[in-house]
Amino acid sequence: MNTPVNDNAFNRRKFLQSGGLALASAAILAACGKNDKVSTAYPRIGESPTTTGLPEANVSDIVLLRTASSLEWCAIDAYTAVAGLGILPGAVLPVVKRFQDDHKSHAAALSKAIKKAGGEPFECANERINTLYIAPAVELITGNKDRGVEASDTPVDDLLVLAHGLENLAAATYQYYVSLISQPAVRGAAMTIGQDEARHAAVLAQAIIPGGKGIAPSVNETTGKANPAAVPGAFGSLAAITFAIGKTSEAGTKTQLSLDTPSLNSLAYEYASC
Amino acid sequence: MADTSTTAPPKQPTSADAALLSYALGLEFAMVDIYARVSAAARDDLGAVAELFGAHHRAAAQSLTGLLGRKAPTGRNEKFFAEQSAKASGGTTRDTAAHLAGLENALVATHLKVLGTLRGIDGATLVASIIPIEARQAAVLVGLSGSTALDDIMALDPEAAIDPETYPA
Repeated sequence: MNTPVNDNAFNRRKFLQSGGLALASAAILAACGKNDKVSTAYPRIGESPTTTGLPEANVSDIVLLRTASSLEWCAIDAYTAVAGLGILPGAVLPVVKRFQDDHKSHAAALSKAIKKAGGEPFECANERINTLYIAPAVELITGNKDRGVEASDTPVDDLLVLAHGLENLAAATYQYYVSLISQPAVRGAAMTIGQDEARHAAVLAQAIIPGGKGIAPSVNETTGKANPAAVPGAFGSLAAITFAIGKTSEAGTKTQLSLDTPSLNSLAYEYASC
Repeated sequence: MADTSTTAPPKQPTSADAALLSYALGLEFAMVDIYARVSAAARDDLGAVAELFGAHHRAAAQSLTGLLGRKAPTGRNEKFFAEQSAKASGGTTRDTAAHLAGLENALVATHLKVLGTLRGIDGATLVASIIPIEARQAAVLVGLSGSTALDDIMALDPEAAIDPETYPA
Protein backbone atom coordinates (compact mmCIF):
# COMPACT_ATOMS: atom_id res chain seq x y z
CA MET A 1 0.00 0.00 0.00
CA ASN A 2 1.23 3.40 -0.85
CA THR A 3 1.09 5.78 2.09
CA PRO A 4 1.47 9.49 1.43
CA VAL A 5 4.41 11.12 3.27
CA ASN A 6 2.21 14.05 4.18
CA ASP A 7 -0.84 15.86 2.98
CA ASN A 8 1.22 18.19 0.81
CA ALA A 9 3.03 15.44 -1.08
CA PHE A 10 3.03 16.33 -4.74
CA ASN A 11 3.42 13.35 -6.99
CA ARG A 12 3.84 13.20 -10.74
CA ARG A 13 0.23 12.33 -11.33
CA LYS A 14 -0.98 15.30 -9.32
CA PHE A 15 1.53 17.51 -11.12
CA LEU A 16 0.23 16.45 -14.50
CA GLN A 17 -3.35 16.83 -13.32
CA SER A 18 -2.72 20.31 -11.99
CA GLY A 19 -0.70 21.28 -15.03
CA GLY A 20 -3.53 20.14 -17.24
CA LEU A 21 -5.99 22.07 -15.16
CA ALA A 22 -3.82 25.16 -15.28
CA LEU A 23 -3.61 24.96 -19.05
CA ALA A 24 -7.35 24.52 -19.23
CA SER A 25 -7.83 27.54 -16.96
CA ALA A 26 -5.57 29.60 -19.16
CA ALA A 27 -7.54 28.57 -22.22
CA ILE A 28 -10.81 29.49 -20.52
CA LEU A 29 -9.41 32.85 -19.44
CA ALA A 30 -8.24 33.59 -22.96
CA ALA A 31 -11.58 32.60 -24.43
CA CYS A 32 -13.75 34.52 -22.02
CA GLY A 33 -14.77 38.10 -22.36
CA LYS A 34 -13.93 40.50 -19.52
CA ASN A 35 -17.44 40.32 -18.13
CA ASP A 36 -17.46 36.53 -17.85
CA LYS A 37 -16.93 34.96 -14.47
CA VAL A 38 -13.90 32.66 -14.22
CA SER A 39 -12.91 30.51 -11.29
CA THR A 40 -9.72 31.81 -9.72
CA ALA A 41 -9.18 28.59 -7.77
CA TYR A 42 -6.52 27.01 -9.93
CA PRO A 43 -3.83 24.86 -8.33
CA ARG A 44 -0.43 26.17 -7.29
CA ILE A 45 2.89 24.46 -6.58
CA GLY A 46 4.41 24.50 -3.11
CA GLU A 47 3.09 25.36 0.28
CA SER A 48 1.00 28.42 0.67
CA PRO A 49 1.40 30.10 4.05
CA THR A 50 -1.79 30.89 5.83
CA THR A 51 -2.53 34.57 5.85
CA THR A 52 -4.57 36.62 8.23
CA GLY A 53 -6.39 39.53 6.68
CA LEU A 54 -6.15 42.93 8.30
CA PRO A 55 -9.17 43.99 10.32
CA GLU A 56 -11.67 46.36 8.78
CA ALA A 57 -10.13 49.84 8.88
CA ASN A 58 -12.04 53.01 8.18
CA VAL A 59 -10.46 56.45 8.15
CA SER A 60 -12.65 58.12 10.73
CA ASP A 61 -12.18 61.30 12.71
CA ILE A 62 -10.96 59.10 15.56
CA VAL A 63 -8.28 57.50 13.37
CA LEU A 64 -7.08 60.93 12.22
CA LEU A 65 -6.91 62.20 15.80
CA ARG A 66 -5.05 59.05 16.88
CA THR A 67 -2.57 59.58 14.04
CA ALA A 68 -2.10 63.21 15.04
CA SER A 69 -1.47 61.99 18.58
CA SER A 70 1.15 59.54 17.30
CA LEU A 71 2.92 62.43 15.57
CA GLU A 72 2.89 64.44 18.80
CA TRP A 73 4.58 61.50 20.52
CA CYS A 74 7.14 61.34 17.71
CA ALA A 75 7.95 64.99 18.43
CA ILE A 76 8.09 64.42 22.20
CA ASP A 77 10.49 61.49 21.73
CA ALA A 78 12.56 63.37 19.13
CA TYR A 79 13.04 66.38 21.41
CA THR A 80 14.01 64.04 24.27
CA ALA A 81 16.60 62.40 22.02
CA VAL A 82 17.88 65.74 20.74
CA ALA A 83 18.30 67.16 24.25
CA GLY A 84 20.02 63.94 25.30
CA LEU A 85 22.72 64.29 22.66
CA GLY A 86 24.30 67.01 24.75
CA ILE A 87 25.43 69.10 21.79
CA LEU A 88 22.82 71.87 21.76
CA PRO A 89 23.90 75.26 23.09
CA GLY A 90 22.45 76.21 26.44
CA ALA A 91 20.38 78.99 24.91
CA VAL A 92 18.49 76.52 22.74
CA LEU A 93 17.58 74.07 25.52
CA PRO A 94 14.73 76.15 26.99
CA VAL A 95 13.20 76.31 23.49
CA VAL A 96 13.45 72.52 23.17
CA LYS A 97 11.88 72.11 26.62
CA ARG A 98 9.06 74.53 25.80
CA PHE A 99 8.28 72.89 22.46
CA GLN A 100 8.33 69.45 24.03
CA ASP A 101 5.92 70.64 26.74
CA ASP A 102 3.65 72.06 24.03
CA HIS A 103 3.63 68.69 22.25
CA LYS A 104 2.76 66.97 25.53
CA SER A 105 -0.17 69.38 25.95
CA HIS A 106 -1.27 68.67 22.38
CA ALA A 107 -1.09 64.92 22.99
CA ALA A 108 -3.17 65.28 26.14
CA ALA A 109 -5.75 67.42 24.32
CA LEU A 110 -5.94 64.87 21.51
CA SER A 111 -6.40 61.97 23.94
CA LYS A 112 -9.26 63.88 25.54
CA ALA A 113 -10.83 64.57 22.12
CA ILE A 114 -10.45 60.92 21.08
CA LYS A 115 -12.14 59.71 24.26
CA LYS A 116 -14.92 62.25 23.79
CA ALA A 117 -15.49 60.86 20.28
CA GLY A 118 -15.72 57.34 21.70
CA GLY A 119 -12.25 56.13 20.69
CA GLU A 120 -9.21 54.74 22.42
CA PRO A 121 -6.30 57.21 22.77
CA PHE A 122 -3.05 56.34 20.97
CA GLU A 123 -0.29 57.48 23.29
CA CYS A 124 2.92 56.42 21.60
CA ALA A 125 5.03 57.47 18.63
CA ASN A 126 4.10 56.57 15.07
CA GLU A 127 6.44 53.70 14.32
CA ARG A 128 6.36 54.21 10.56
CA ILE A 129 7.18 57.92 10.81
CA ASN A 130 9.99 57.10 13.23
CA THR A 131 11.39 54.41 10.96
CA LEU A 132 11.01 56.27 7.69
CA TYR A 133 11.84 59.82 8.69
CA ILE A 134 13.19 60.42 12.17
CA ALA A 135 15.62 57.54 12.70
CA PRO A 136 17.42 58.02 9.35
CA ALA A 137 17.64 61.76 9.96
CA VAL A 138 19.10 61.36 13.44
CA GLU A 139 21.54 58.80 12.05
CA LEU A 140 22.74 61.33 9.47
CA ILE A 141 23.44 63.77 12.29
CA THR A 142 25.00 61.47 14.89
CA GLY A 143 26.55 58.97 12.47
CA ASN A 144 26.44 55.19 12.60
CA LYS A 145 29.78 53.38 12.24
CA ASP A 146 28.12 49.99 11.82
CA ARG A 147 26.23 51.23 8.79
CA GLY A 148 29.05 53.38 7.45
CA VAL A 149 27.25 56.66 8.08
CA GLU A 150 29.60 59.49 9.04
CA ALA A 151 28.48 62.04 11.62
CA SER A 152 27.46 65.49 10.45
CA ASP A 153 30.07 68.22 10.46
CA THR A 154 27.39 70.73 11.49
CA PRO A 155 25.29 68.79 14.02
CA VAL A 156 23.71 71.74 15.81
CA ASP A 157 22.57 73.38 12.57
CA ASP A 158 21.27 70.04 11.34
CA LEU A 159 19.29 69.42 14.51
CA LEU A 160 17.59 72.79 14.10
CA VAL A 161 16.87 72.02 10.45
CA LEU A 162 15.42 68.61 11.40
CA ALA A 163 13.27 70.13 14.15
CA HIS A 164 12.06 72.77 11.68
CA GLY A 165 11.15 70.04 9.20
CA LEU A 166 9.27 68.02 11.81
CA GLU A 167 7.32 71.05 13.04
CA ASN A 168 6.39 71.88 9.44
CA LEU A 169 5.30 68.26 8.99
CA ALA A 170 3.09 68.49 12.06
CA ALA A 171 1.54 71.79 10.93
CA ALA A 172 0.88 70.41 7.44
CA THR A 173 -0.65 67.23 8.86
CA TYR A 174 -3.26 69.11 10.86
CA GLN A 175 -4.02 71.33 7.88
CA TYR A 176 -4.38 68.33 5.57
CA TYR A 177 -6.59 66.45 8.03
CA VAL A 178 -9.10 69.31 8.03
CA SER A 179 -10.11 68.15 4.54
CA LEU A 180 -10.71 64.62 5.89
CA ILE A 181 -12.36 65.34 9.25
CA SER A 182 -16.15 65.25 9.14
CA GLN A 183 -17.05 67.20 12.30
CA PRO A 184 -16.55 70.99 12.17
CA ALA A 185 -15.70 71.25 15.86
CA VAL A 186 -12.97 68.61 15.46
CA ARG A 187 -11.52 70.55 12.51
CA GLY A 188 -11.32 73.66 14.66
CA ALA A 189 -9.68 71.75 17.50
CA ALA A 190 -7.16 70.22 15.10
CA MET A 191 -6.11 73.56 13.65
CA THR A 192 -5.86 75.09 17.12
CA ILE A 193 -2.98 72.67 17.58
CA GLY A 194 -1.80 73.03 13.97
CA GLN A 195 -1.28 76.78 14.33
CA ASP A 196 0.90 76.09 17.39
CA GLU A 197 3.12 73.86 15.25
CA ALA A 198 3.32 76.61 12.64
CA ARG A 199 4.54 79.04 15.31
CA HIS A 200 7.16 76.49 16.42
CA ALA A 201 8.35 76.25 12.81
CA ALA A 202 8.54 80.04 12.54
CA VAL A 203 10.66 80.28 15.70
CA LEU A 204 13.02 77.58 14.43
CA ALA A 205 13.30 79.24 11.02
CA GLN A 206 14.32 82.45 12.76
CA ALA A 207 16.85 80.50 14.84
CA ILE A 208 18.38 79.11 11.63
CA ILE A 209 18.33 82.40 9.70
CA PRO A 210 17.81 85.27 12.15
CA GLY A 211 16.26 88.63 11.35
CA GLY A 212 14.63 89.91 8.21
CA LYS A 213 16.48 87.48 5.92
CA GLY A 214 14.78 84.52 7.57
CA ILE A 215 11.20 85.77 7.29
CA ALA A 216 10.36 85.44 3.59
CA PRO A 217 11.37 82.57 1.28
CA SER A 218 14.94 82.74 -0.03
CA VAL A 219 17.42 80.49 -1.78
CA ASN A 220 20.76 79.26 -0.52
CA GLU A 221 23.23 80.71 -3.03
CA THR A 222 25.64 77.78 -2.59
CA THR A 223 23.23 74.88 -2.94
CA GLY A 224 20.41 76.51 -4.87
CA LYS A 225 17.95 75.00 -2.38
CA ALA A 226 15.23 76.87 -0.50
CA ASN A 227 16.22 78.23 2.89
CA PRO A 228 13.96 77.76 5.91
CA ALA A 229 11.54 80.70 6.14
CA ALA A 230 9.44 81.82 9.08
CA VAL A 231 6.57 82.72 6.72
CA PRO A 232 7.12 80.60 3.62
CA GLY A 233 4.08 81.69 1.61
CA ALA A 234 0.56 83.11 1.60
CA PHE A 235 -1.03 79.74 2.44
CA GLY A 236 0.04 76.74 4.47
CA SER A 237 1.75 74.31 2.12
CA LEU A 238 0.89 70.62 1.81
CA ALA A 239 3.83 69.89 -0.46
CA ALA A 240 6.58 67.50 0.63
CA ILE A 241 8.92 69.09 3.17
CA THR A 242 12.51 68.86 1.98
CA PHE A 243 15.74 69.67 3.76
CA ALA A 244 19.39 68.66 3.68
CA ILE A 245 21.39 67.37 6.65
CA GLY A 246 24.38 65.14 7.42
CA LYS A 247 28.06 65.24 6.59
CA THR A 248 28.93 67.70 3.86
CA SER A 249 30.18 65.88 0.78
CA GLU A 250 33.21 66.89 -1.27
CA ALA A 251 30.80 68.57 -3.66
CA GLY A 252 29.53 70.70 -0.77
CA THR A 253 26.15 69.01 -0.55
CA LYS A 254 24.31 67.22 2.24
CA THR A 255 21.82 64.38 2.11
CA GLN A 256 18.41 65.57 0.97
CA LEU A 257 15.42 64.25 2.94
CA SER A 258 11.76 64.60 2.13
CA LEU A 259 8.84 64.32 4.56
CA ASP A 260 5.20 63.78 3.64
CA THR A 261 2.12 63.98 5.82
CA PRO A 262 1.01 60.57 7.18
CA SER A 263 -1.23 58.84 4.68
CA LEU A 264 -3.12 55.54 4.58
CA ASN A 265 -0.17 53.32 5.42
CA SER A 266 0.89 55.45 8.39
CA LEU A 267 -2.43 56.02 10.14
CA ALA A 268 -3.10 54.88 13.71
CA TYR A 269 -6.13 52.77 12.83
CA GLU A 270 -8.49 51.80 15.61
CA TYR A 271 -7.29 48.17 15.63
CA ALA A 272 -3.69 49.33 16.26
CA SER A 273 -2.37 49.74 19.76
CA CYS A 274 0.86 50.92 21.32
CA MET B 1 -18.10 54.60 17.81
CA ALA B 2 -19.47 58.08 18.16
CA ASP B 3 -18.58 59.52 14.78
CA THR B 4 -20.22 57.07 12.44
CA SER B 5 -22.32 59.70 10.71
CA THR B 6 -23.12 58.49 7.23
CA THR B 7 -23.80 61.98 5.92
CA ALA B 8 -20.70 63.31 4.21
CA PRO B 9 -20.05 67.01 4.76
CA PRO B 10 -20.98 69.19 1.77
CA LYS B 11 -18.21 70.36 -0.54
CA GLN B 12 -19.45 73.88 -1.27
CA PRO B 13 -20.14 76.41 1.48
CA THR B 14 -23.67 76.31 2.86
CA SER B 15 -25.55 79.60 3.18
CA ALA B 16 -24.54 79.73 6.86
CA ASP B 17 -20.93 79.07 5.82
CA ALA B 18 -21.11 81.89 3.27
CA ALA B 19 -22.07 84.36 6.00
CA LEU B 20 -19.12 83.29 8.15
CA LEU B 21 -16.69 83.37 5.25
CA SER B 22 -17.96 86.77 4.16
CA TYR B 23 -17.26 88.10 7.63
CA ALA B 24 -13.74 86.68 7.52
CA LEU B 25 -13.28 88.22 4.06
CA GLY B 26 -14.20 91.70 5.31
CA LEU B 27 -11.53 91.36 8.00
CA GLU B 28 -8.93 90.21 5.46
CA PHE B 29 -9.68 93.25 3.27
CA ALA B 30 -9.25 95.45 6.34
CA MET B 31 -5.88 93.86 7.13
CA VAL B 32 -4.71 94.52 3.56
CA ASP B 33 -5.44 98.21 4.02
CA ILE B 34 -3.96 98.36 7.52
CA TYR B 35 -0.70 96.87 6.28
CA ALA B 36 -0.70 99.24 3.29
CA ARG B 37 -0.89 102.17 5.68
CA VAL B 38 1.86 100.76 7.91
CA SER B 39 4.06 99.99 4.92
CA ALA B 40 3.68 103.51 3.56
CA ALA B 41 4.60 105.07 6.89
CA ALA B 42 7.42 102.74 7.93
CA ARG B 43 11.02 103.86 7.55
CA ASP B 44 12.72 100.60 8.50
CA ASP B 45 12.49 96.80 8.13
CA LEU B 46 8.87 96.84 9.25
CA GLY B 47 7.93 98.37 5.88
CA ALA B 48 9.09 95.33 3.93
CA VAL B 49 7.44 92.98 6.42
CA ALA B 50 4.18 94.93 6.24
CA GLU B 51 4.29 94.77 2.45
CA LEU B 52 4.82 90.98 2.52
CA PHE B 53 2.18 90.25 5.14
CA GLY B 54 -0.29 92.61 3.46
CA ALA B 55 0.20 90.64 0.23
CA HIS B 56 -0.58 87.42 2.12
CA HIS B 57 -3.83 88.91 3.43
CA ARG B 58 -4.66 90.03 -0.11
CA ALA B 59 -4.10 86.48 -1.37
CA ALA B 60 -6.38 85.17 1.39
CA ALA B 61 -9.03 87.73 0.46
CA GLN B 62 -8.79 86.84 -3.21
CA SER B 63 -9.21 83.13 -2.47
CA LEU B 64 -12.18 83.75 -0.20
CA THR B 65 -13.70 85.93 -2.91
CA GLY B 66 -13.17 83.17 -5.45
CA LEU B 67 -14.85 80.64 -3.18
CA LEU B 68 -17.84 82.85 -2.42
CA GLY B 69 -18.30 84.04 -5.99
CA ARG B 70 -20.99 86.64 -6.54
CA LYS B 71 -22.03 86.43 -2.89
CA ALA B 72 -18.66 87.81 -1.78
CA PRO B 73 -18.53 91.25 -0.18
CA THR B 74 -16.23 93.61 -2.00
CA GLY B 75 -15.22 95.87 0.83
CA ARG B 76 -13.35 95.80 4.10
CA ASN B 77 -14.87 95.72 7.58
CA GLU B 78 -14.99 99.48 7.92
CA LYS B 79 -15.24 99.82 11.69
CA PHE B 80 -12.45 97.32 12.27
CA PHE B 81 -10.22 99.14 9.78
CA ALA B 82 -10.94 102.58 11.20
CA GLU B 83 -10.16 101.61 14.79
CA GLN B 84 -7.23 99.32 14.20
CA SER B 85 -5.43 101.31 11.51
CA ALA B 86 -5.44 104.32 13.81
CA LYS B 87 -3.87 102.23 16.57
CA ALA B 88 -1.30 100.80 14.15
CA SER B 89 -0.12 104.26 13.09
CA GLY B 90 2.03 106.82 14.79
CA GLY B 91 3.83 104.70 17.35
CA THR B 92 7.34 103.35 17.39
CA THR B 93 8.26 100.37 15.21
CA ARG B 94 8.02 98.11 18.25
CA ASP B 95 4.60 99.47 19.23
CA THR B 96 3.31 99.03 15.72
CA ALA B 97 4.70 95.48 15.48
CA ALA B 98 3.12 94.61 18.83
CA HIS B 99 -0.24 95.95 17.68
CA LEU B 100 -0.04 94.07 14.39
CA ALA B 101 0.88 90.88 16.26
CA GLY B 102 -2.27 91.33 18.32
CA LEU B 103 -4.33 91.78 15.16
CA GLU B 104 -2.84 88.65 13.57
CA ASN B 105 -3.62 86.70 16.73
CA ALA B 106 -7.16 88.06 16.71
CA LEU B 107 -7.58 86.93 13.10
CA VAL B 108 -6.21 83.47 13.92
CA ALA B 109 -8.69 83.18 16.81
CA THR B 110 -11.52 84.39 14.55
CA HIS B 111 -10.65 81.97 11.76
CA LEU B 112 -10.43 79.08 14.24
CA LYS B 113 -13.89 79.95 15.50
CA VAL B 114 -15.17 80.13 11.92
CA LEU B 115 -13.47 76.82 11.05
CA GLY B 116 -15.12 75.13 14.00
CA THR B 117 -18.51 76.03 12.56
CA LEU B 118 -18.10 75.68 8.79
CA ARG B 119 -19.79 72.63 7.27
CA GLY B 120 -18.50 72.79 3.69
CA ILE B 121 -15.15 71.17 3.03
CA ASP B 122 -13.94 73.77 0.50
CA GLY B 123 -14.38 76.65 2.92
CA ALA B 124 -12.86 74.69 5.79
CA THR B 125 -9.84 73.70 3.70
CA LEU B 126 -9.23 77.28 2.61
CA VAL B 127 -9.54 78.74 6.10
CA ALA B 128 -7.26 75.97 7.42
CA SER B 129 -4.61 77.04 4.92
CA ILE B 130 -4.83 80.68 6.01
CA ILE B 131 -4.60 80.06 9.77
CA PRO B 132 -1.01 78.75 9.99
CA ILE B 133 0.36 81.64 7.94
CA GLU B 134 -1.31 84.26 10.11
CA ALA B 135 -0.02 82.42 13.19
CA ARG B 136 3.50 82.54 11.74
CA GLN B 137 3.07 86.25 10.99
CA ALA B 138 2.02 86.83 14.59
CA ALA B 139 5.13 85.01 15.78
CA VAL B 140 7.41 87.13 13.58
CA LEU B 141 5.72 90.37 14.64
CA VAL B 142 6.11 89.48 18.32
CA GLY B 143 9.83 89.19 17.60
CA LEU B 144 9.84 92.57 15.84
CA SER B 145 8.10 94.08 18.85
CA GLY B 146 11.20 93.24 20.86
CA SER B 147 9.95 90.22 22.74
CA THR B 148 11.76 86.89 22.63
CA ALA B 149 9.52 85.30 25.25
CA LEU B 150 8.05 82.06 23.97
CA ASP B 151 4.93 82.72 26.04
CA ASP B 152 4.33 85.82 23.92
CA ILE B 153 5.11 84.06 20.65
CA MET B 154 2.82 81.12 21.41
CA ALA B 155 0.05 83.24 22.90
CA LEU B 156 -3.34 82.63 21.39
CA ASP B 157 -6.43 83.76 23.23
CA PRO B 158 -9.64 82.21 21.86
CA GLU B 159 -11.48 85.08 23.52
CA ALA B 160 -9.62 87.49 21.24
CA ALA B 161 -11.73 86.39 18.28
CA ILE B 162 -13.19 89.44 16.56
CA ASP B 163 -16.79 89.88 17.56
CA PRO B 164 -19.33 90.56 14.78
CA GLU B 165 -21.39 92.57 17.26
CA THR B 166 -18.47 94.89 17.95
CA TYR B 167 -17.34 94.96 14.33
CA PRO B 168 -20.39 94.22 12.18
CA ALA B 169 -19.84 93.17 8.58
